[in-house]
Amino acid sequence: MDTVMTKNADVTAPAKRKKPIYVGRIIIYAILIVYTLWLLAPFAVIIVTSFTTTKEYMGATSYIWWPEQFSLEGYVKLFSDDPYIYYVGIPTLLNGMLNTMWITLVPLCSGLLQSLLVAYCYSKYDFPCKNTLFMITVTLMFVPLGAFGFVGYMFYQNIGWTEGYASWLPLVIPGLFASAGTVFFLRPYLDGIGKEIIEAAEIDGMGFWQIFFAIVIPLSKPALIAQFIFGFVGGYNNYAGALVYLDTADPSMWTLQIAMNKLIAYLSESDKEYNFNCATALMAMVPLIVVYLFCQRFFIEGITFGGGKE
Amino acid sequence: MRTENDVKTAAGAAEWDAGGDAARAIPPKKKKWKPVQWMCFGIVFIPIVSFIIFSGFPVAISFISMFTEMDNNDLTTMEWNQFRNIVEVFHDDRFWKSWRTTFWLATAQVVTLLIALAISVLLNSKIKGSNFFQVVFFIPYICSSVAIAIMWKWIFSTDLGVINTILGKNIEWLNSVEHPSRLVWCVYLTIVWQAPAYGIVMFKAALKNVNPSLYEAAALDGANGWAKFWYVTLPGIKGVTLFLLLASITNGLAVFDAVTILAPVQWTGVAGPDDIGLTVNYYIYLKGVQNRDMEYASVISWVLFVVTFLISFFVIRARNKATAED
Repeated sequence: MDTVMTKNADVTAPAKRKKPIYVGRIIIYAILIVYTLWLLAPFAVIIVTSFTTTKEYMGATSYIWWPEQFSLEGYVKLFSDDPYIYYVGIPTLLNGMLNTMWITLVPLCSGLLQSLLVAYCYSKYDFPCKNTLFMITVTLMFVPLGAFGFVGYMFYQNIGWTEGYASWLPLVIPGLFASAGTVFFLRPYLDGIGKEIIEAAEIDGMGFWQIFFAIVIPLSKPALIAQFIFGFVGGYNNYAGALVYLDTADPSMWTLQIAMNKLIAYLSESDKEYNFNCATALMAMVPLIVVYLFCQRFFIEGITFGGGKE
Repeated sequence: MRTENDVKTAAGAAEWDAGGDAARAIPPKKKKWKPVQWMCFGIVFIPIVSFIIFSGFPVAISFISMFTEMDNNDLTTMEWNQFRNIVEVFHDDRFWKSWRTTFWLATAQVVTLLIALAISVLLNSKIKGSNFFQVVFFIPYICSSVAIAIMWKWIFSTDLGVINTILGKNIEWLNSVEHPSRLVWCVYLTIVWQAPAYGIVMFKAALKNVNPSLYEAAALDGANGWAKFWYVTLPGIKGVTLFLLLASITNGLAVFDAVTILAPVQWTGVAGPDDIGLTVNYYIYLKGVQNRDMEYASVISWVLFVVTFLISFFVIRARNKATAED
């Protein structure tokens, strides 16, 4: 937008117009910097607190902006004060992280590959009732079923999937299969690949599965990455689902979000261990933020994939 | 779930093509299907069958349970109870109160969209370092709303919180009996802090794709900055705006994570002072999961579903109208 304005200004009155643009730029930068500070300030607050000792907060009457001495006390407590560590074997938060990883990754990978397979069938093959079936799939996708997240519990309770280790199943099994939404998202992408490549491969004697694994999967990498990032961020941060379905009586089954919340609730009630609270919240957020900072290009491209095209 | 709608137009076009294919394929009436085509036929049933099992059954059960009474959610003890659940829900003060808080918090989504739009327009104004800013602005999206709520809870805490330290006062933000609405504003703030991240990235991608020649044409017609924004930029990003509106309405009506942390259930059973932190989804959780009264929670879920569905329906219709005009 700016270049257009500059160009136009150059034609009419080059000398006069320069200054306002300069001022405008400063204002834009000022707003963006203020917004950056607004987003980062809360992190700064909890980072500082996570390094402040409990002792220093004992006599405090207000927030401590800068501790007299930076200490790792809050982080050490993740090991030493963890009330469930003897039961779980490793720090509860770490165990939660591992649980979250497999609960998220196993269904995500399986579901994505299956959805791609279904999209591949729709896109490149003709079969009985194709259009009717696709219409059904699309219709299913558009029903906003988010409101039933909690009452779905009845179904899983009655098939015995809410006690003990079986309570992992409602979080894992539904995601293992292809989902209507992902199929709907992937199909236009596969449509864009072009039938010639598939036909050429068929002439070369490649079968359905060979084409799928050797051609379709590599070619649809950008779309898969986009869906993967959505699914991964969603799974990593999933709280409500785990809260309802997981049998929380067993600390070794907690996911990251549950473990974080339980630890903080347990310790902060009695001891006012602010550094522990802040360290726990940070330890739960930082891994994903680090992954994001290293792969931010994939995140931003993935999130806008398809959506920005309009 | 968010990505599902944004490819709508593209897939709509694809569907058209497929329709064309089928039309061409029909004439040689009795077509002999090859085994691989039958295999495809089988494969495409996966999403439909898994939907029926993992979404259809739970929803159907919750529908039936609305009209029944059960012992500890055991389906075998189901008994018809003359719409008592439904009557009770609509006479329940807490139910109506939870809607008030929910709609109140849902308006945060509009504020969110406005902030996202403003920031993305600034990011798009060809300044140096706009990528750096974008990377920072997206961070809240990847943080869990629970961790963020914990973070803000510490910031709002009464004795040692940053906000009270800056103000030099001892204001009860989260637990004030005289001013319960403060709690809702705190939740509001955490939403407005976190939610624009997604919109900023989406808007920025859309702004990039607005045809630059339109701006030049507008400039030739003598349009100033505001006129360009109003007549070129906004129509150019209409599709994304309505998509984001749809996504944020659905999310906005389902607020749960943040309120459970900032307004934990007290020993009296209320969420926050004067029950102000109770959103519809929170109430479903308290009734269904904590009180084990799933029949009652089902009724509330269905009301929430219908409201979400109606609002999304109107937004989708507006969106289709808007895209048809182009």
